[in-house]
Amino acid sequence: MSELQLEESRVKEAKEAKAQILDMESLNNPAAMKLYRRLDGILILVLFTFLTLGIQIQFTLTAGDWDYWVDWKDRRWWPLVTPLTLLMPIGAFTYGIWQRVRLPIMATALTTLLCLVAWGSHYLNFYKFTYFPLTFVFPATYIGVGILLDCALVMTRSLVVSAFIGAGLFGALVYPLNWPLIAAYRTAVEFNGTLLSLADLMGYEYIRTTTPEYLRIIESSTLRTFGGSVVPLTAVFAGFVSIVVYAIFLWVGSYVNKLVTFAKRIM
Amino acid sequence: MGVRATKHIMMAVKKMRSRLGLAWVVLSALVLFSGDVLAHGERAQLASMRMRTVHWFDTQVTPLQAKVGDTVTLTGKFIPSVYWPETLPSIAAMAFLNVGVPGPTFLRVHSEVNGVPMMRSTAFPLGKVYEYKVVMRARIPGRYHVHPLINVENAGSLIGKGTWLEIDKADTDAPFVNNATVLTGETVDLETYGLGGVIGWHLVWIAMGVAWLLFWLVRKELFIPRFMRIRALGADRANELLTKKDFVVSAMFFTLTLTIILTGYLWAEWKYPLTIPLQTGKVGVLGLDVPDGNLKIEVDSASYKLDGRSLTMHAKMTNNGERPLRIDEFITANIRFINPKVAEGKIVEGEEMVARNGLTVSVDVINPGETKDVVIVASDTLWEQYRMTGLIQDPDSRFAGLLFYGDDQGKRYYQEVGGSILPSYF
Amino acid sequence: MAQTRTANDVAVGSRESFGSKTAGHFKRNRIAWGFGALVLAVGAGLRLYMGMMAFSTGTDYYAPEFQTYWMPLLYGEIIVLTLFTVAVSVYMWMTRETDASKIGPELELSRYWKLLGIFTVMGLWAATVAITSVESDAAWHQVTIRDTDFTPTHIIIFYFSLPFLTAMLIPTFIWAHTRLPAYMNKVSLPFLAVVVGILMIMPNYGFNEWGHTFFYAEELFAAPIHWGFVLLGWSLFFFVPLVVQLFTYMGRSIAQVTALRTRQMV
Repeated sequence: MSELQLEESRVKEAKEAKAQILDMESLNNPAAMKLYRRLDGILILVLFTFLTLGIQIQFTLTAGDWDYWVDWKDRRWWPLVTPLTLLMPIGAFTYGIWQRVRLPIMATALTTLLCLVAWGSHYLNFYKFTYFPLTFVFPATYIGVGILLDCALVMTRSLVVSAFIGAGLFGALVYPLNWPLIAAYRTAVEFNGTLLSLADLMGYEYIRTTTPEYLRIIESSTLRTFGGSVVPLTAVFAGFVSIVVYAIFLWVGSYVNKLVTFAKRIM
Repeated sequence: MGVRATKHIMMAVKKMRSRLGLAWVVLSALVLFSGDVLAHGERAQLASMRMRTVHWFDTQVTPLQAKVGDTVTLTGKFIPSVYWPETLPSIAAMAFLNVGVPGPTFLRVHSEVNGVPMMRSTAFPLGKVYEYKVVMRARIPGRYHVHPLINVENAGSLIGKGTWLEIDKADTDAPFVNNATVLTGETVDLETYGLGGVIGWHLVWIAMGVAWLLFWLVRKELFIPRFMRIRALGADRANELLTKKDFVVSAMFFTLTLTIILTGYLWAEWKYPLTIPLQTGKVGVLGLDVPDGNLKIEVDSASYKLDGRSLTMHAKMTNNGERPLRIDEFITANIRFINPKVAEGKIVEGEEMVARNGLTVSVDVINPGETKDVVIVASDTLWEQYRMTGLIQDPDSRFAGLLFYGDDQGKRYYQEVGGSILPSYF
Repeated sequence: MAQTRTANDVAVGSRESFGSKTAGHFKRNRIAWGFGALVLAVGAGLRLYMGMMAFSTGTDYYAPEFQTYWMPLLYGEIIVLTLFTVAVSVYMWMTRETDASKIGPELELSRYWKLLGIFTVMGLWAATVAITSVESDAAWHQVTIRDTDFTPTHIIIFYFSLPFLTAMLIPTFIWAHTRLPAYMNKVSLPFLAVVVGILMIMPNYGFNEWGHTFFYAEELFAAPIHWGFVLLGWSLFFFVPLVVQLFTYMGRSIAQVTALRTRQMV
């Protein structure tokens, strides 16, 4: 019985080896290469469109509020929450794509797709549908830190080392990367005798019926800042959290990646 | 005209109908309804909850017709009920004065409660009177149902009654402007301010991201060839697929990206040297005492007809004041039941949810020093329309409302009444 | 081995000229073009309907307009999608093929292109949903008062946009497992994970509405009550092993067909 099984698996292996030789030969066949390239184009379209939905669901339901409104992009929570949530799918996808085809693209792809879909979505849903001005609802960008993570992966050729360098930078640099976008809205204004930033003023003026002021998860802490170093301290911590989250999701990705198997028919 | 021609025309018409007709019908239906914008939600909550949360009264919106850019003022008063449900997070903990409109169709330029500006979150201790004022500037033309509203943390939005408001286009075609003067003295239009920079920086990063993706994805050998080669090489030698060019380009991208991030940061620091963090916090506001005119009210019992439209209340009332008092109005769940015999209640233009003949009181006058058993019946179709009969489905059958009364000198008093309420089956 | 080749030569599709079906993804794949255009038109139509009707007739569940303009849409969506899914799935199953040896290499390859065609349509729909639907729900609920579980944006995203993806995925899953030799008579686990994950988003509506109605009154889009959707969205992680399966079997199919063809030409 066991010998028969052994024989069977040996035949199977030999067949697979032979097929793999044929596979490799096809790489020298221009007709095959033409079809492979056609498949590349289609697959990029399929993969990227599905990734668009994936990253949109992931991001909007875990960090969306910080991304929708300019008066949510604070120094303590937004730079911490956003890299943390983005690195989940980035880690899971990077593992498989790196292991199977050695392409360091997932961080850039996901952040770029997120940026494009966020612009489309904020334009349609917040600007057109619910009348907010774009100045109040423009999305943040994470493409820069995505590129850093991918570059770190190519240069170190190691998922583990890039987790430290790349994911660390990914988490730490979200705030400076976006500062040129949001700094304008942090200029001070006096309103009814109270100091507000322009972002706060917009949050007050552009009525959000079911988004009250207290709902904002911003700046909440003991207010102790040790000389005002809120941003650098958050950056370092965000970098640390990012490394951990990215590592965990690489590990998740390694398990997902193993599931190329088939089960016997259920029915 | 021959049969053939008729057939031809019929077919052409049919064809056209199938292509354009449906679209046309749908579009015209859309256009018909697109101007009329509701902002509701007031009928959704449990009847008992609507009666025992916030009593809104004297709500007024002026003017009822305005143009884009014009100022509209929303004023009124409210009392948070002392019968506030235990299961509901309290308005005395964290709340925010808001407006029920469909998005920023209006710009809120000022809001206050008892004279305190309401940009921040606050809290409203129960049983006190709060007078609010919200000044808005019309921003988007349309017909809107505007409601005063209080967001209560973890309890949701408690909505006052709505008033229809007509906003027409502005006389000029110029775009809506929302100017603000920052502390440096510069005046900026918040509708467009800073957007150029935002879009510019986004384009830079999108270009960088797309360039990186193009570098990796536009190759002679991509997915399947790379997959096959890695499978043949084995995991240990898979890195052989990465070329020197890949490394060099990555290093360049890495350096360039860091440079752009740094440049952007320094540019922003140079362009906007004076910035502050987002501002948040909570302000306190003192409530006013309820002007009860020294009338002591003890509710003995209350009931509502299961198949009808009325609430009946039996109460013992003692007038400890110096003037005779007459009951003229009862408000619960935003519905005003007015006693037509007294009819002191002022009805403002455009006001809804008013039962002009909705209140019957068994006693005409309660003189100073008198104690009387009073039967009050509040009855109107509004009771049904606003789903108050659903009280039977509520897990906590208690009610509350505001009773208004006045003296012979025209002075107006009110206080909250409430208690247990029973359904009457017949 | 020689026998197999003879069998392949007489199998269906092997005599079709190379480059017709096998080559035609964008050129001749009617599914990708026709169905894709229809899908995008439906998406655009619904978005237009929502944009124009939501604020005018959709803010009060208890108003007669709501019952006229939104509830029939909800019932219609549920009926259409259920019928579509069941009918197409049953058809795919009833017309299933069980003998892999009857499928020639060229026919097999043409079916891979067809599979990619269907996935392109699903991808276009996924992107449409991502741009038009997902955050419309956020925008809507952050400016209006929730007074029903069937708000206009829910009627569109929960009862059409996302289920439509499932409505396409399930028949595709059945089709792939009954038409592609590599998938026949077994079950691809990553494919199953993608389908089940996206399918399970719908039962998760129950959790979402239960929570929104009874326990969570704030309109915070990043609230934990929504994380069930995120978790199920992670089923898209299984796209990577699914694609790896495609690399393996479609790659092999291309290698075989082109080798065969080159040999014939020589």
